[in-house]
Amino acid sequence: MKKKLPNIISKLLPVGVFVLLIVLWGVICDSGMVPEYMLPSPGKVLKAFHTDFPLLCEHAKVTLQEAFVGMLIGIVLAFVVAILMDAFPILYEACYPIIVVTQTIPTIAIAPLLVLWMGYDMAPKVTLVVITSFFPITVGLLEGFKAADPDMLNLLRSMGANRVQIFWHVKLFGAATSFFSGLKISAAYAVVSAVISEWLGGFLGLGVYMVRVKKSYSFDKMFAVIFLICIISLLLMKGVEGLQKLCMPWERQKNRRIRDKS
Amino acid sequence: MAVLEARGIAQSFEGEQIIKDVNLKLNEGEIVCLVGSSGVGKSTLFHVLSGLERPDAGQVLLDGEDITGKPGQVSYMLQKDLLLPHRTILTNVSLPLIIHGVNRKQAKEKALSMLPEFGLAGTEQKYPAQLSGGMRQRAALLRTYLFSDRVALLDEPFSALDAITKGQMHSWYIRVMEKYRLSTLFVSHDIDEALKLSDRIYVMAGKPGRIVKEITVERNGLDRERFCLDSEFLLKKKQILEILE
Repeated sequence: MKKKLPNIISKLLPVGVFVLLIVLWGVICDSGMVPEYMLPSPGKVLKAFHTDFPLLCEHAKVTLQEAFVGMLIGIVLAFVVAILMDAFPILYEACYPIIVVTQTIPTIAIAPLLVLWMGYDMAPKVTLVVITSFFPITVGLLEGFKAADPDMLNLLRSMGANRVQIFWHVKLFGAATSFFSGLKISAAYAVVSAVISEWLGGFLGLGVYMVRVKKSYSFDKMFAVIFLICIISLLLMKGVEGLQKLCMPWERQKNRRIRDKS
Repeated sequence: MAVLEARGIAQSFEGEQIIKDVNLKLNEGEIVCLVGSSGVGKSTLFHVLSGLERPDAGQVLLDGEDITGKPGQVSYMLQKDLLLPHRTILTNVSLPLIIHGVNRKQAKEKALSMLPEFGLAGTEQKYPAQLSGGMRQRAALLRTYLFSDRVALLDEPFSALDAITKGQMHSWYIRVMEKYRLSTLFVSHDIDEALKLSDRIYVMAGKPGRIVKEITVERNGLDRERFCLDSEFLLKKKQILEILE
């Protein structure tokens, strides 16, 4: 019993702080310290969220579509690149630094270029999501492949296994944990990347809506969008966690030891 | 006739000679132990015998056929159990069959029929992390057996187990081996274990490592447990210890 208490507290603590911040925000707004057109009260944001909900959903659908398509392409690309780089060490040496460099390019800087090159449709948004989601997944996979136990590889080789068999039986599944950590980071970035590229042009999407409400000084609606983006990102990350549990049944079984009956 | 034979094996690593002029034989149905202090090149020798490494000189023969540097011919169990954590016990033990191209269903059927003999009945759908150390070791041994029922190379197969489990594993191992007559060459640090389990012992020593003594274990009609308490046992143990010191 004593052990459980800190666990509950540690779970409730962040919720408590969150509620406290909202209350503080409300108090500041009600006291009139900040003009209402600058910072809307939490109640107003909630109301905006409620009345705008159908519209928000419509825009969110487009953004989510971009995020999903981008992530899917990012995953496929990451697998192809990571597998090739693992199979050919020279490719690893040659390309790994370049892949790292692509990550130092600020997303906001290339987004306008992508719009210029690809137009106002989905293409530049999806591309940006691909660029941001590709890296964490690739690195996750590569590290997972590299972490394979050399003795395990020797065992498979002693059985006469070829490279494809070794990859399939040992490396691929061995990389599952680090792949999912990479995917979780990608999921967190995907929606934000899609929104950023929507700022710069487009017809639908949460980013487009954001620019629109900002121009009309509807800050309550602006906050409503921000909250929605947070919620979507969190849900996506939770989704990845769920997928991981589903894909890695051996991790779930770990604590269910059986007795040696012989 | 010798099932497995090594002739004049020499191997070096990064310019340093590890083993030199190693000759050994393993006869049909025999259990032979290789003892020697650590770093004498036992694992290197096993890597060569299993075909993982091609030696600088010498030959490895399986049933008189040259298999030097060809993996996939004799089964090799490395020091750890090395079960794939993401595969069930059944898939793990049938892995060598799957790799050899046996169809999955047949491979699993064969493995399933062997599980009770190895004390693993009912574990087919479990994952390695759910099993005790002894069970995992038996699963690794079954995988080794399914790899080849002719020759097995075991690198310190019981060293990771606690004393009680080790004793149980010895008795079980002898029972199973007598039934299946798998010719086995195993490495051990434990001279008691070597004398208890094997028919012959090779002692490796020196730098580069060579086989300096071959000892035939004759139990004079005593069973293994009782032989461990016999004066002959101590005499042999003393003989080996003197070489290793």
